[in-house]
Amino acid sequence: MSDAADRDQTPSERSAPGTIRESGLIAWIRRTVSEVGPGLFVILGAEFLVFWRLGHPHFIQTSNFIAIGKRMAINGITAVGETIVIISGGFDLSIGSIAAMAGVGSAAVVENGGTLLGSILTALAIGAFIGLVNGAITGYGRINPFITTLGTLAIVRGVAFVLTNNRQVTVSHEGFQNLGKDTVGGMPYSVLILLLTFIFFGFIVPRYRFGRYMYAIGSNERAAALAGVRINRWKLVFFGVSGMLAGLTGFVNAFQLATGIPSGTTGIELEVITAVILGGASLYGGRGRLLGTFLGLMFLSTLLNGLILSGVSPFYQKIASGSSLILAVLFDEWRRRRLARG
Amino acid sequence: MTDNAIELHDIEKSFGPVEVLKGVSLTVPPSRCYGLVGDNGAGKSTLLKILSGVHPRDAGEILVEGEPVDFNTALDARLAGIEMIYQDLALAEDLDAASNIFLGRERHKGRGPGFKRLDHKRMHAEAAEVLESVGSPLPTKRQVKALSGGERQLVAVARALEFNPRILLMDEPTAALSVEKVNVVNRLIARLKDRGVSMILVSHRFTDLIQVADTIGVLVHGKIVDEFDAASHSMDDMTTRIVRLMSEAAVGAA
Repeated sequence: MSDAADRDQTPSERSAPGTIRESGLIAWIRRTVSEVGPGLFVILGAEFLVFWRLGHPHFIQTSNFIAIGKRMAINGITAVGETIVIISGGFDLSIGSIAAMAGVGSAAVVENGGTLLGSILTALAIGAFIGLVNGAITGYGRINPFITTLGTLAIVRGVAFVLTNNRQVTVSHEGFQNLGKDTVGGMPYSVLILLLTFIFFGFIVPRYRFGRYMYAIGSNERAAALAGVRINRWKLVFFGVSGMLAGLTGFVNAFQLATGIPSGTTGIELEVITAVILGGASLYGGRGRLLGTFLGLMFLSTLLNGLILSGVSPFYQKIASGSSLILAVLFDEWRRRRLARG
Repeated sequence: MTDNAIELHDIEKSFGPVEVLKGVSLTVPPSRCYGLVGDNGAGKSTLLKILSGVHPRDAGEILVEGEPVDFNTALDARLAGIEMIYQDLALAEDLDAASNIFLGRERHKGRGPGFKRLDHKRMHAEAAEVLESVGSPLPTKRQVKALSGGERQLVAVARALEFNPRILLMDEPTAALSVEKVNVVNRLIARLKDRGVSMILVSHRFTDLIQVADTIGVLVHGKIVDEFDAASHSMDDMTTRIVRLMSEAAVGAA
């Protein structure tokens, strides 16, 4: 402990996100880069350069960026929820199953004469409900979130299969289909929803208790509990939000394909968790940034898109995401040890 | 006559067949610091846990400012004006000092129920104020993990003070500090007394305790075997006295 006592002079300006309101764009950029990890910015830049110079000529093209954006949207909306859960010290593996279930549900609503609003609310409600169940089991039931959500991953997927008999729900509702085709000033609805999700939570996190407790519980759950923070209630909130955003992802996926697919969005948790960890969030909780997740997503989506354009077999995609995940965790571990040494 | 801050009468506690506390009585007058010395296993932590509402006692009486109290939860103890500072300080290391001090009791902008925005400016200002009042100012925007051991201690104390406690319990307050930093705790305790806070400090490092406490109690095998006023004894006196008691206890146990 004596080294802790000797750290007086460490001129550390690093601060927890959401707890500091320094003014000045430069200060904000410096803080962000140091929290997200400068490495990510470098590899993101290098990646663009490589695909631009060595990849397919179509790589630098608006239409391709829109394709990347659409791909990002599916993983990205639910990645916001995953970031929240991981920063708060949790883990959510069930997002892919939730998205499939919600996608099927929202497609079924419009196919049975429901409105568009009813459809999206159904998707959000399905997601939020499963998320709350995850939160309740993890919090009140004191079950490791990895186990909880591994269980609900299987259960929810199973329920989706049972309810549909593994048949896709094709949507003929025009408004629903149009959401997947129309754009707002050239921007697909999916990308718009992605950006709005990031902006909304980017606004909430530094300004409300939601964000404060997310970091506090992830940083030291016992300390937060001793301070009177109702841990289990907040776990309901965090997992509930994650589930709800997974539900939103399911809705977006369904309108993009004009189909609810019970076997859809399988395995997206791999890419999503990779992006979150790449973005600087710690698996130990307490650390991470939404912006980091956004950049991590950009890196992964661009990587997978660039590989395809460069003529690399899609089979290699999984290898690339898996390797990125391991590298990201190795990096996280290395950074943690470096920080622990002061 | 003013009531004592806290009085314990014949506190007993057993865990199964093991008698941990065998009738502990002690009295802390207002704005005084009581130092409880004892070896590992003497029952210090158990006593603190009873006083902070973690464990119920088996027998005996606790009076806070003359009123008998009963704790079933840590919240009961807090409501009775007792705050506990754990040896590990229980801080959220990734948050800054101000966020830790106001954790669970954030200041908000605006009135009324619903979703209120955090008032960062006010929390930093108030945190700086309370830190200043107990010791030295420190950067309230710095993450706790970047603070020194002494600074962390100040943050933990500042947080406890935000609950307006009448009695502060501190478990091994000097354990995390280097020898020179003990005078930080010394100064801190003086300031706390000025604010009318009474303290019970528990440590096995009695050389630290006899420098800061008004009264010293020696806890051996669940009983207070000696108690004396620190002001009326010389350092050497107290040291020999405690060492003798503790070594007797160790021999007796063997």
